[in-house]
Amino acid sequence: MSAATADVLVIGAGTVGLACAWALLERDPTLDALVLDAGDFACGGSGRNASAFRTLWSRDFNILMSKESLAVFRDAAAVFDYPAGIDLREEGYLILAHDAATMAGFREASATLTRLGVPCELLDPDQTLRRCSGLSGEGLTGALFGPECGTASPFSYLDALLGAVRRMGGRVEFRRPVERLAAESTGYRAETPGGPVSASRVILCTDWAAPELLSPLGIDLPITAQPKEAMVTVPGPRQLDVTLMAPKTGLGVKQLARGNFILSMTLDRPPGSQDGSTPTWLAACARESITLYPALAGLAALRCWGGAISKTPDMQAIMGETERAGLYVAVSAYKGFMLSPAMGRVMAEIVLTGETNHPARALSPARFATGVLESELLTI
Amino acid sequence: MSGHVAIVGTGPAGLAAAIEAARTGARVTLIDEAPREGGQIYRQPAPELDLPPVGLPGELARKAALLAEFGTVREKLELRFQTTAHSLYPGPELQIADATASARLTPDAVILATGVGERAIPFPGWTLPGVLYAGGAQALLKAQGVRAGDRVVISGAGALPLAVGAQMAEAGAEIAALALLHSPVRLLMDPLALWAGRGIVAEGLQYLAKLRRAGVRPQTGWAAIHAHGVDRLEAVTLARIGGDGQPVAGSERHVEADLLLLNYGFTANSELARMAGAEHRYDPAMGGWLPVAARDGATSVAGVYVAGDGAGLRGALVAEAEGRIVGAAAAAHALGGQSVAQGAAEARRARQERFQRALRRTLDLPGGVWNWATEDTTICRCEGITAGRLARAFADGHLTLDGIKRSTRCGMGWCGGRTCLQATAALARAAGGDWPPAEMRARPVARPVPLGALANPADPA
Repeated sequence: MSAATADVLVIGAGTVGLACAWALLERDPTLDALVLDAGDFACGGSGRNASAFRTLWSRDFNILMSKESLAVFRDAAAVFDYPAGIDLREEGYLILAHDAATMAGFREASATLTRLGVPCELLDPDQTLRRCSGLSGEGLTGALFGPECGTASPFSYLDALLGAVRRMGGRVEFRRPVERLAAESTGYRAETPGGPVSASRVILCTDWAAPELLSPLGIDLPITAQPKEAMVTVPGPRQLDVTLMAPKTGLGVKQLARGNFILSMTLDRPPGSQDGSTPTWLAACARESITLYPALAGLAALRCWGGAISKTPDMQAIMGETERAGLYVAVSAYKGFMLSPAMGRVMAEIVLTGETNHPARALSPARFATGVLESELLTI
Repeated sequence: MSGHVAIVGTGPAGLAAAIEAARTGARVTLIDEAPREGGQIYRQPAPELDLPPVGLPGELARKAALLAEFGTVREKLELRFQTTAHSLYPGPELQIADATASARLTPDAVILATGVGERAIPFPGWTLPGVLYAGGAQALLKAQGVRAGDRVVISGAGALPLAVGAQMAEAGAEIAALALLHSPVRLLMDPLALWAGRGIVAEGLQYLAKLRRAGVRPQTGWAAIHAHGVDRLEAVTLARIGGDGQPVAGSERHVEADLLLLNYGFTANSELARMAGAEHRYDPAMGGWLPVAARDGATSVAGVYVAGDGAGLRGALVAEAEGRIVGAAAAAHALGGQSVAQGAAEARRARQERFQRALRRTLDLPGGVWNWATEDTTICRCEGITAGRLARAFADGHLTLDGIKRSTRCGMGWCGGRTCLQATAALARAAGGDWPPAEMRARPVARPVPLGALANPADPA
């Protein structure tokens, strides 16, 4: 029997949507929460990311949300009653600078990080190469190192969240897309193939697809999709014990505990399919990866995958109530997996109390009307 | 149109396609991972090995005839052996790589003649060293003259276990047991099909005669359901299998062996077609996920053609006939002309397909066979996912293959799910999952490719 009503309808069962449902039920166990997803478990960006999380950001709201989220990741087995855990590995992040302006940004960010108690180190090229011996020093101006960063399994985290939400009484239905959202006298009516759902409050967590449901309601938020692609290699000897990020090329390189490397890179391509593979991407990613980390030349690509990230003009998340009362959005701008525990908690606070004191209140959808955007020095 | 046709695979379908495409006047590039042409069925040993041929006279004559005919066009072709066709995009754009360099080909037509891999039914111990696929053991015999064991149990369905049993016996192995899920008598249900396939049936009888001479009596309605051993195979439990696929309690028989060979049908190597976005369907007896193709091999993606077992299991004779039909059609497409009618090949294919349809009844797998696995039995070897882990995922509501993959990693490893996803789909079905299972997308790369080769573009010839 498909659900027809809910106190809160969450649209999208990715990390952000499930984290919102989880946090809502944590605050109010009596709440009737329903999560609908157009696809299957982990079919969207939450199941397609390169499994990285970091605490290295330049803005208070991101730094605080990442600290809070890391605490949840560290304690995931207990928090979500998920004994297998989520494969968290805090091996550190090395964000590489290949020009002076990037290095200046690192310097500014490191001051904010230090003020908020997030450990980080500014490294010169020699220190960078000592930190990561296999790295190519070509054109390197330095790096920002953060030890409280690393990888976790997005699949395990999603599975843990899903189980926790269901145990708390939340209903999660996959393969039930919301095709249209309309305002009712009190609340909203969501049209789905399984029949309409009426809910007094709706949180839209469909990332880059959010405008599809917002535009017909006259809400115009500047959210677009940027295709991303990634590949995993066959396992190799363990050698890289830190995640490398190169803002210059948009390349990320990391090695998993089992020995496989994950390489991710943005490639500009015309919009279209969000999960396809571009014919030129394989060779481009192989070339950039080997340039940055030459030992990769000897490993074989095993499989590629594609997805899309949400983009906003300032590459910051959008969190809060829209101009229509009772309709909320939580769109991550390429941070969903790593910030979702905190995004969910802040959203639950906003939905249930109407406000929050968290600095993330600056990320309200209203900011685009005022024209005051939020910058971020550590966008990759 | 430059009239360029790229063909992936040099088994009977690929070779026949190359012959016809070259005759039609197309420029042909032929790609295979192996060092020599032949594929699985017509596999050739390295020339310096000078091995005795493996197979019946009729089979060996067909192989010799096709290889000789190929020899007449060989010089006109661009041959790329020890090269992997790893990715296919709409266009078509075919990407290939060897150990050190890669190339992006943009032919007018691509023919995928990629054949099949083998399928097993998981049971306790099936991943022990000493348990192999029957066709894999046959390939070792053909290519390297290596006999994989001394005291052998063979268990499977269809015709391959009989051929491999006879070949292993001929190579000097002791066949401790040869268990077949179904009796070949199933074929008799369709006398016309039997007549259409009389040549192959005669070969089957020759294999049976060889087995009889070696003192081997195939046991039909039996199967290996447990492999025992500490570090490697030491013994096998065989059991009588009921019509529902379940072992009959009390029928178990313990047989010592150092080699267990399995074959319960095949999985089509359809990754490249699916990667290009070709529409596909699921047919477990014909190889799982299969590209939907017209009779001339055209898929739903312009310029992408399929031929042979990779387009649906039908055996080497169909593959060769179909290779000719598809080779001519793809060449005509590439040259922008009319396809030359392949009447003789059409008739041969139709006749053999009739027989193959009947033969496939011996590959039916009743639902109960998927219960041979116990909770601890590995289903996905690459990721070490057990039947028990899958059962937990099913109980959590993950019943679609994508959901199962993402919640357990089953099928995400080295083989890309070729080995386990058919079993996983069958297990999910028993737990209430969709049947037939949904389309499975394939992503680049179909086979592992060195990053160094990808980063080193060689000029496509």
